[in-house]
Order: sequence, then structure tokens, then C-alpha cells
Amino acid sequence: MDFFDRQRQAKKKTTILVFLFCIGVLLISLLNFLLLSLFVIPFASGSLSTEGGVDVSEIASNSLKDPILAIWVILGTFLIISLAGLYRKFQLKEGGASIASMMGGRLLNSNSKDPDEKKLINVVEEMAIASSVPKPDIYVMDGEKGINAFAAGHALDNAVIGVTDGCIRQLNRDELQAVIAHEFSHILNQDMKLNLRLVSVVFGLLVLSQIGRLMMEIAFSSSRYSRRSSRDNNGGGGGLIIVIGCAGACIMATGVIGVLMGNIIKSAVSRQREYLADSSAVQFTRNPEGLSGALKKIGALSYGSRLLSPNSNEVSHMFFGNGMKESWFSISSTHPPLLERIKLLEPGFNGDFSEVKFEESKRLPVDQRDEVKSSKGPIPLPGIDDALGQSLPAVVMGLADVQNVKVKAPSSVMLSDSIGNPSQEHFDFAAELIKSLPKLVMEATRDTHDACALVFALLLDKKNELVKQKQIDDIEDVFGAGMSKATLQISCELVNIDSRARLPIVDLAIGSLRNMSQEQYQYFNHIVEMLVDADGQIDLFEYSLSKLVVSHLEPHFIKQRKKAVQVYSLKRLGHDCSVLISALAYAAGSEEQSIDAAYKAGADHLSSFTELNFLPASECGLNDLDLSLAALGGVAPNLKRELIQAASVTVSIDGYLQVQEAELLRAICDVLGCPVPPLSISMEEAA
Amino acid sequence: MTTIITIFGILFAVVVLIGFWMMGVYNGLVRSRNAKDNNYSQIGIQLTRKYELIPNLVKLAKGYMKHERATLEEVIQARNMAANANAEVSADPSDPEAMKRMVAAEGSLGGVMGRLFALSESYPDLKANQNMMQLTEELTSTENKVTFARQAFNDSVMTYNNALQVFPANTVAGMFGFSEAMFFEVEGLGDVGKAVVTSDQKKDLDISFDDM
Repeated sequence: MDFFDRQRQAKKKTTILVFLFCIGVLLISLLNFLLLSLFVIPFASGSLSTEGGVDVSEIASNSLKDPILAIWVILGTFLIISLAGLYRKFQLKEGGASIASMMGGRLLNSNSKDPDEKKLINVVEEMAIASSVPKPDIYVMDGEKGINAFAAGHALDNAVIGVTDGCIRQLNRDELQAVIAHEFSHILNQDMKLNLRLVSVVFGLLVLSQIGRLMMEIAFSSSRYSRRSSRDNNGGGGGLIIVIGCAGACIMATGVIGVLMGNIIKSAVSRQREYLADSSAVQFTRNPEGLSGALKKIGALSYGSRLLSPNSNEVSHMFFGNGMKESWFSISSTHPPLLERIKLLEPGFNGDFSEVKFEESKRLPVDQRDEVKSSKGPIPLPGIDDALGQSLPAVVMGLADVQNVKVKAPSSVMLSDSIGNPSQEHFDFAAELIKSLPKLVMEATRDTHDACALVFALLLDKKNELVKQKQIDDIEDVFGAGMSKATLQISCELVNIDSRARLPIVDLAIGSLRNMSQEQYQYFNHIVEMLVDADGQIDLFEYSLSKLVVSHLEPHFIKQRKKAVQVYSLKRLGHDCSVLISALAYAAGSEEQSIDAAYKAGADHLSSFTELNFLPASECGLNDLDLSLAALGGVAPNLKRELIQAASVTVSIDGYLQVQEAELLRAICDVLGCPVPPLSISMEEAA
Repeated sequence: MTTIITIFGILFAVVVLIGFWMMGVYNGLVRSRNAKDNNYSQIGIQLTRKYELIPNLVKLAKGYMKHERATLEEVIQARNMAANANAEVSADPSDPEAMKRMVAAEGSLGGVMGRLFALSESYPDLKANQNMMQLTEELTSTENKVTFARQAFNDSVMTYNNALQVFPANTVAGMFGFSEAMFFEVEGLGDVGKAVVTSDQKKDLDISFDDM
């Protein structure tokens, strides 16, 4: 099952969710109606009428048969629940950040000096590079001492990762990495969107019980008040209050059933995803001990994975561990039992948590921490925490400044399999890469001002001094001398970096760039365009980079609803496919013959889906490619797989993949919403 | 009976709708207030860095500028005041009084720093000192970052204040005690950190250390 299948499955789950939700609402409305007509209305008319001797059972049977009443009650219940759900949905439109603030999270400062927080930042950065996802914002829930974490957001671009204080203090690096990998798998598998929907649904069901309770409280308090003030005039006011109270009780009762059902829906959808995320985490890190270690620590800790925030019920299904009390009603538990999860990773585990060891002191001096790290775990990860900029590993050094490296191209199936599915190699690559980056560059990715300068520096012309001077002047005109100076400074550092690191650096910087204000973004965007155009032509790297930046930042700054059209056939998109394949063919080949061959290879792959024409270069420029990619962005996941396979066949027609080709492919995948892990990891073979 | 239910139902629906609208406005305000506070934390990070750098600078300058003791002490004093004010604002960025103190403290720090740099012109040895050059360079780049972050903060203050003042949201804002936020605009700064990120003021952007 690859990335695309999992996406499709997530969609299917959403359908199930909607179905279950509708059934739930219908049942609750019916129940509401029954309770109202059987108890409340007969009782109400009994207590409100002045004449005695009303036949209660007759009224009950009458109101049961009353269609208008039925419609009102059912419609009303339905409206309340869906309005509440919609409201929650509206409230969560900021995505992950709103969940994080709901849970009392604090945005982690990426320059943090706390060793545990630094460790977390490093782990997340590695993971982001390995899976080619922009570095998510990290939130720390300081008040939560249990071990837990979550990922939330609408899309890859605005995902956030939240971890509890217990998580960063109690876990060692391998375990933390496993937990973060688990969360990244949620990000990559599009579970987050589903999870956010679940929050709205459960909230809708919860609101009903709250309204019922409110009504009861109003009735209760005002009946006490009226009893005191109007003892002598025994009017009908008291009766109405009792009616409201009773109706409230009924609504609350059905609401409680609703909450229970909400939990069942939650668990139906999310349990399977947890198993999947566990297995993906192991696949990512190739280190089952990390994950089982983290789970065992949850079992051994007295507060386990417990969450204290009052909002945790609504979002418990997003978390790494079961944040709620172990439910007596196991069907409504959002997570598989802890023991079961551990046993899947470590079949011999006997369930005895008393032997789990915690590190003694949590705040070791930096140099000792490295020893702890390297002695733990079967795959010692490079201790990058403190080695930044100090030692450059030979492998990466040897590759520095190789612009025209070629690698053996991965087969198209291999490529599409690796999407959303980084492996151990990608992690090692990411760690090496981070280690090889100059300190200044690494720091620049963590600061908004310098992150801008970093992007500008990547776009500076390397060949023509005149063009470069003009670019610098442009930057100075808009952002001032400080920015242009920073840009020059960073560009000096960039001379020596591995050419494969250029796009991953941008991944790291995206998070800081999001801190710009709307206005600053406008200027930033303007400058990026000017820099790209400075020499009068757009090369592939410039195109890839600007595409990457824009596709990840635009959704954040320009609040525009994307059309959620799903296209299930490429039939009508023949022209767009032609543009894509032709443009790639021009990028891949140099002579007419090789261009032709490249086009043929790609077109063959898509021939069973749509009709393609080979377009002249003038009709498939980068602008046309832009438009076509926008059109192709809405196709169904399985078709995207075909598109990406065709694209990779086209660029790697000669059996090799150049850095620029790999970058272009990566940018195209990004625009299509498919994060492809660094393609060029095996480059050292060719170098 | 049905008419009673109908009236009751309509009333209920209206109340629910108003309630939802109010919740929506309230949450929108909270969100933009959080965005604003978060943006302040970006400034706070850079300011803290600046306040860490200044004592080093003073320590270094002390060796050379024997006769400027008073100015150096003033710098330290102004730096301490600004650092305190920053800590105060960081704790609660919504407090307009604290923000006013912050703006004043930053202003006087900028003024006295400008004087220090003007004085240092007459100490060529100090200017040629490798550490001094590094420190001023770092101070300048930090100041640039502060300006950049301040711009972002002021933009988000503007967004927040707009959301607050627009009718009918202002009724809700009044009910829940949202108050207008202060801009972080530093007047009377020395030459340091005058970088303003708008194209029409681009000529102000020169930073005095460049020619040191």
C-alpha cells in the first residue's frame, strides 16, 4: 500500500465518518422526539392546563402522531448539531495552530537553548528533510507531564506538531524520534484532515448535551427564585419552568448518548490509523526499539499519556497515546491498548513495566548527553545537536559544489513508492545534510529576517556579476541595506554547500518565513519574482525554488478557498498532461532526438488515460507548466501516481537523474501535494 | 400548540444563531490577539539577544574610552531598563502601559547608544579592534532583525485593532473586555536600527556602522 492508496483510504474513511455521523444524528433526533412527545408534552399540558382530568396517555399518543411536531424536533436537533459542527469547523480553520492553542501549547522558539528542546527541534528538522515536508511549527504543552504528542493541520503546509513536556523530558533521542516519526506519518497519510473533521463532528454531538444542561440549570435556578418571590401567586410560570427543565433533561440525555456515539465514531476511524502510524514510524526509522521504548515508558509512568487539558476529550484521537482515562467501554477508546501496540513491536514483552528505566538526570551537560545518545539504540544517529558547523563529514564534503552530478535514476515505481514514505537512508541523509550545513545557514533558517535573506541568496546569480549587483540593489531598494548585507553574507556561505541541500534548506526555512506579516510577504514575493527574472530567463532551479516557496507559503498568507474539485479521469486534461510531459522532455534532453525519446517514454505511460500531443517548446514554457500543474492538482490520488511515474520516466530517460531534474521533479510533486523524499541520496555513487 | 412550538422554535433558533455569531467574533478576536502576541515574541527574542550584546560592547569600550565613563554607565542603565521593560511586555504583550514603557526605554537606549557610537569616532584604536568590529556588526544585524520583526508585529497590531473597532464586532469586543493594542514604534532612536521596510523610505536604511 503506497502513499496514494493510503490517501484514497483516508477519503473512504471520511465517507464512513459522514455516514456514521448522519445515522447518529438521525437516531438522536428520533430519540429526542420520542422523549419529548412521550414525557414532556403530556406532562407540560397536564401542568399548564387549568382544568383537571387531562388524559395524559391520549396526549402522548396524539403528539406521537403529530407530523409537524416530529419535523420540528428532528429538524431542530439536526440543525443544532450541524450548526455546532460547522461552527467548530470554522473555528478550526487555522488548522493545527488552533488545536495547539486549544491544548495550551506554546510555540517553541527555534533558537531555544534548553538541551531537551534543542533535541526536539533537531529531530523534527531531520524528519522534515527526510520526508521533504516543510518543517512544521512545534508546540510544547508545558503543563502536561504525561508522555504524548500530536500532529494537526489541514495540509502538509500548515501542519503543527505538539508534544507534552513529559515527552521531551522523559524520552531519549531514539524514542523521541520514533514518536515524531509516528506523528509525521499522520501528516503524510493525510490523517490530520480527517482528524480535524472528527473534532467538529464530536463537538456538534457534545453541544446538544451542553444545551440540555443549560436549560436544566436555567429551570432549576429560576424555579428556586420564583418559589421565593411569588409564593402567594401560584400562576402558570412554575409550570413552564418545569417543562423547560424536563425538556432540558431529555435533551441532555440524548446528548450524552450523542457523546458516546461520537466516541465510537472516533475510535472506529482512528484506531486503525494508529496501527498504521506505528508501523510507518518503524519503517521510517528502522528502529522498533525506539517506539516500543516510548510506549513502555508511557506504561511505566504513573501519569502515562494522560492529558490534563479540559479540551482533551475532543482531540484525544489526534494524540500519540491514549490521552484519556482507560475507558470502561473499550469500543469507545480511540487508541489500541498499549500492551497490544508494544507486543506488535516486541512480541516477547510480558507486560511488566516495572523494569523500564528512565534516565536519572534529565538535564545533563551537553557533552555527556552525546555519550548517552551514542550508547543507546541500535542505530546511533549522528550527534548533530552540537556538532553544527564543526565537523564536515567526508561524504558530503566530497560532493560539495558538484553542480552537474548525475545519479542512476530510480525506477518510476520506486519513486512513487517512496512518496510519503521516507526510509532509513533518507534519515541518514537528512542528518548528514544538517551536519554539513554552515552554522550561519542553519541559524538563518530559524530567523524570519535571515530566512528571507537565505531564499534571496539562493536566487543570486552565480555567473554574471552585473546581474548579481542588480539583484542586490533590488533587495536593498525594498528591504533595506540590512537585508542585502545579510543576503551577501549568506550567499558567501552557500558557495560551499552541497547542491542537493538547496531545496531541503528551503524546507527548513518555510516555518520561519511564515512569521512574516502579510505586507512583508507581498514584498518578499515581489523580490523573489524579480530575482528569478533578473537575468531575463528562468532556469530550472529558480523555477523549482520559487514554486516550492510559493506553494508552501501562499496558502498561509492568501486566505482563499481552494476549489476542492476532484477529477477522476485525465480524459479532459489531455492538454495539461501534454504540457507537463513535453516541458519535462525539453528539460531532460538536449538534442532533438533525446527530447523526442524522453517525450515518447512519458507519453507512453499515460497513453491509456488520455490523448497526448507533443507540443513545441513555445507552448510548454514554465508559465504554461504553471497553469497545467494547477489544473492537474485536483486529480484523484491514483491518477497522481500515474502522472508522477510518467514524469519521472520522462526526466530519467537516459537512465540518469541530474540535480536540476531531481529538483524539478520534486517541485512538481510538491505542487501536486505529494512529498517526495530527497531523490538524490545515492548521488555519491556517481560522484 | 403548534404555534407555540413554532414561536419557541424560531426564538430558539435566533438565540442560537446570535450565540454562534458572538462566539465566532470572540474567537476571531482571540485568534488575532494571539497572532499579535506571538509576533511580539519574535521581537522579544531579538531584543534579548541585543541586550546580551550591549554589556560585552561596554566592557570592551571601557578599556579604550577612559574619559567617557558617564556615557558608558548611562548605556548600561538604559540597557537594564529596556531589558526589564522587555521582560514585562513579554510576560503580557497586551498590557498597553508596559508597552509604553518599553517604547520609551527602547527610545532612550537608542539615543544613548547613538551617542556612544558618535563618541567612539574619536577613538580609532577602538574602532580598529577586531572584537569591536564583530560586536558592532552583530549588533547591527540584530537591530535589523528587530526592525523586521517589529514591522510584522505592527502589521498584526493593525489587523487586531481593525477587527476590534469594526461594527458590529466592537460590541462583542467591549463585552469581553478586549482593548486596543499599542504599536511598537520607536521614536528618537539613534542611527541604529532606522531600517524601515517600506520602499518610499528606503533612503533611511543606511546604518551608521557601515562606515566604521
